[in-house]
Amino acid sequence: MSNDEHMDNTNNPTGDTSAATTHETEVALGKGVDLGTANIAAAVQNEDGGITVNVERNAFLDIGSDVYSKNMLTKLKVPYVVHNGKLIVIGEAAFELANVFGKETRRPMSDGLVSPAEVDALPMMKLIISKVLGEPAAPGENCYFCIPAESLDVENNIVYHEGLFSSLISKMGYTARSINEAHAVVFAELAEQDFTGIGLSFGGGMANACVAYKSIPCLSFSVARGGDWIDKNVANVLGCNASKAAYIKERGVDIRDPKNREEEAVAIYYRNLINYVLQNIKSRFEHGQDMPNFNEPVDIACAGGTSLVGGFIEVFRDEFAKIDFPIPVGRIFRAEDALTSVAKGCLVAAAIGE
Amino acid sequence: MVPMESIADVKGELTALAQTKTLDELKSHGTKRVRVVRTQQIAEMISEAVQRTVRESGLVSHEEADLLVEKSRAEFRDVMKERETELSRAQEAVEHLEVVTAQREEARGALFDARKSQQSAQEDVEDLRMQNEALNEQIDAMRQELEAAQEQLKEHDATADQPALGGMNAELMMKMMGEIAELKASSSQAPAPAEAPAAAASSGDLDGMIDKLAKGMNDRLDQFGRKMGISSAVDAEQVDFKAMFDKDDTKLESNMDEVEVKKKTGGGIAGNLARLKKLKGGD
Repeated sequence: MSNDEHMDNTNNPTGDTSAATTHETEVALGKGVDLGTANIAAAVQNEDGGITVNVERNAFLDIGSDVYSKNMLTKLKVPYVVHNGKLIVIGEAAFELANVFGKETRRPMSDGLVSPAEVDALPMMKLIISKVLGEPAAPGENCYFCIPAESLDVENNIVYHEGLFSSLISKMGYTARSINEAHAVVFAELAEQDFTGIGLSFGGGMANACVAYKSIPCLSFSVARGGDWIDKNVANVLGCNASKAAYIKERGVDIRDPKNREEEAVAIYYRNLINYVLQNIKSRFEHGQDMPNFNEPVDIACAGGTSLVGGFIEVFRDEFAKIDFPIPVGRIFRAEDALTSVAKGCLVAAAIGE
Repeated sequence: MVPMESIADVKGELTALAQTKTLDELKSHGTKRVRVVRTQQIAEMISEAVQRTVRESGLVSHEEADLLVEKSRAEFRDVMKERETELSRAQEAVEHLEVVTAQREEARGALFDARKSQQSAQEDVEDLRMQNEALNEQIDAMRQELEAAQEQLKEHDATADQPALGGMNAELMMKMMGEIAELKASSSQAPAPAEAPAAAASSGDLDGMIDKLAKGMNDRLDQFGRKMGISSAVDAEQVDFKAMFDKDDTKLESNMDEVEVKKKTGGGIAGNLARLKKLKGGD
């Protein structure tokens, strides 16, 4: 899913990020997990009628293993694990440390799928998922996790990715099922439109699209371009590393009005990504079979951490206006909480027992 | 006559006044022997004469005269040194110029060769581009045939005469599959020069397009076969990867239990669930 922006805990006035305690009030069963390239998020309904989403950066960093380092990390409450004799910092702290030391974090996932090149991917992801998902509230609790659709522009094996995480989550005691990532966005954001419209998830590794009619997906695909693709290209242009490029992107850029050369590079690649996705939707719709006829305009809902950048929706509308889209479109909007929308959609699927 | 200020000037004047003649020229004038006096000696004699005159005139004291002589000599030495340095620099400049000239000629030769190679590569790229265009036209034609076949199949699906009509469409598809395989083989045999990466990339794209088209037709055939009940394909069971995590059951040393994960709260999903249930016909 997502490139993270620093979140604020608006419900806790002290700014403390400690967990909310579970009261005796019964909470509806079912959990949704967004297994994103950049972030992993798990959503559950809470006793207040809302939802609580646990988020952790899907990254880790190994540092020198010694008693001093371990004690420092413990004191600073930085999550770590000792694996194969190495001290490994997990999550957001790994990203921050990497930026401080000018290193690159290690990523268990790449381009939306588990990374075959990363030897420690599975144990690290298991730790992070266990942390955000927690134990099931009841044996066999429904847990829906998102998977990307087949990519149009690269060869990828979704079957292995899906099977792996289904097994992992089942082993934790859940009944694991998968749902397309963009379809989850439809569930989360297009309820008022009777789940008819286009859901787009702009994640770290991929951008996923789903055209749905009354909650039934008619067209789903992905392209292997996302926040990481932007970081990589911006890094090439600016001559820095990808973590630095991600930092530039996440510190508060408005892609409608870039202020300097660095922001200009970010804006250029954002436009390119948006245009690429729109052109592919148009092409697939024009050449696809069994497409429904949309007599009424449909809404487009955007989500995903990559869509959090300033001016995203305005640039999206700008690029949309340049092409002759094959179906009538009404409102184009970004989810209120773009970072957790996919997890929320997975939760809806789990709760309804799709 | 210009007053001379140093022995160098004396030498210069003597050299300017002197005529250069070859030995043959002297012989032709009947001169067989000549007395040779070097310019330096003449200049020294003049200098000596000047010094003696200055001393004997009484206008300048002995000490001042000696000082004057010494200064003149020093000035002469300095001038000689300067001239030698200039000569040496001139010599170095000439040598450097020769080296640079040689390098320039080499560079010219290399540029000429590079331009020739570039021209040749451009011609190769142009050839490949034309081949690519021709292949694209063939693929378009085949795509149109495929669409026509799919249209036919749709029409036949609507009627009850599926077996007979389906057989014909399957035959058409098999024929097109064969043509696609031949097309792919001919494009992969086309040479791609090392200097034309863009053309090689487009050839790779072409292969990718053909593969996708072939895959689409394979899937269509398979789907058709299943409809007819004649496909031998069997849906595979989902693979269970649980065993991959068995080794990770051992507890790792960690502080994860003491660290809280970041939490966000948001609006509920009751509305979403209600709408979804209504769509599905529930209450």
